[in-house]
Amino acid sequence: MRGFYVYCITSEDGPKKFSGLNGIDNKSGVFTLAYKDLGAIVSMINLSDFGGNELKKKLDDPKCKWVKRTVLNHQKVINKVMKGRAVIPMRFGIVYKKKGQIEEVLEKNYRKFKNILGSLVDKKEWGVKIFCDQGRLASKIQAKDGSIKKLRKQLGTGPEGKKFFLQKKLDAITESRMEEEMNKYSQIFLKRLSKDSDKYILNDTSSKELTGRNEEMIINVAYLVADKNLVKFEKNLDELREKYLGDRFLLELSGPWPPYNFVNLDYDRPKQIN
Amino acid sequence: MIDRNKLIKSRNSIAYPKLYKNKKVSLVDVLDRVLDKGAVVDGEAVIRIADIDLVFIGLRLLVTSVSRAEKLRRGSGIHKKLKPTKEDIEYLQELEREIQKAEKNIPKIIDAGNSKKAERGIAKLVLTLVEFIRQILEKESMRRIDAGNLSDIEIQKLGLTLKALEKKIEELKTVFGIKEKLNLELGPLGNLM
Repeated sequence: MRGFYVYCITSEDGPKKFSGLNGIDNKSGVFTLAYKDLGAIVSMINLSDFGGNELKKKLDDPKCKWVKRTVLNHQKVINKVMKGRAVIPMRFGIVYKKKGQIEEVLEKNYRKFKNILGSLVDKKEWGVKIFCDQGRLASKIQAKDGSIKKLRKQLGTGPEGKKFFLQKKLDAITESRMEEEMNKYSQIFLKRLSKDSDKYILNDTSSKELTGRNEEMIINVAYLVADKNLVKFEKNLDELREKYLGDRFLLELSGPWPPYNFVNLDYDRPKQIN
Repeated sequence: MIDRNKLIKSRNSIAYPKLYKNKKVSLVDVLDRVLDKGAVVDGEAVIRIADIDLVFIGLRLLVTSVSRAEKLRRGSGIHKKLKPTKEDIEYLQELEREIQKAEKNIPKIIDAGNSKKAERGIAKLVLTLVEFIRQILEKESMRRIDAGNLSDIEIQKLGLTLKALEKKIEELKTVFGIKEKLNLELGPLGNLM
């Protein structure tokens, strides 16, 4: 049985069909289902691919081949659609059995969708990740902090057992100073970057194991930036980058993204149709 | 749906939260956004996002999902808190499946001549608990030293004992080939140490 995979919601004034653009299954065409002046961008899929044992099998693949491919296709479609218009990007895996169900969703949430789309016109999401070389920051702090210097001096003398505790104390103080310092810098970064953006959302940072980098990720933030402010936004970023490189802070920009981080909303569920 | 909405700050009402906290997890950017962000339309949605999440980093992500489920509960308001959501139930079922899987796997690992691996896991668990106790003792010692309750010789003895224990744990870690930091992830409770 065939069903509808939904990528995003947008205004219906775009193309009814997107020629040359294939859906998440790599073969079915992408098209618009309209309700009044709203459109849901969809493609047909085999429902069996998204349910029961078939899905389980795909998810159990340790290499996640299917998931990776479909997720990237999901993103590719929205990227194409968002050129020139505001979109409400859907999360991965939104599937409907019948056309009528999608129209019902559009109808029921018409006002809400319109308002959100209105708030997203000519705006894009930009991701900023900030990394910190903690080793270097620690030695910088140790070199100038008074109480740390005092403790280090005491460390030089005295019996071994006492030294053990002093060392532990030193480690604990260094760590809390690091946290203070990192908070301080974080505020500076966020304050400056927020200046030319509309909104921001802090996301979880990734561990070194996941980023594969030597530096610790200390900030992972998504900004909603108006296209007309982008130049200023990037300038802020560049200036921060330059100014704090010496303290071993690295700033990474990604985008433009569909506003994934700025469309988290509750809306009415459609009635179950069997 | 999640309390991320509360984190959205308009530029006119900037309130900076305490930012730096050691959190973890997230995949590459796309996966991160597409699997976890974006609008959710309920109803006939067939895929269960929790399942997808679980594929990626196994147990690690399981832990994240726990905190995610936490957030979900926290974000949905007090009156809703009492009732488990559909996602909660699915998530709990997934956990049960994971436990069953693990239970089935344990004899397999041992049978398959993999006893070395199993041994390593057990050693890690034991060492983690020893290290946990050692750290508690260390903190208590520190407290008493700061309060001035201990003589120099007592401090000396305590310090050396704890140091010896610390070294011994390191040595045993090397013996069993444990390179990572000792710790236990306790899901919503955070880490043991």
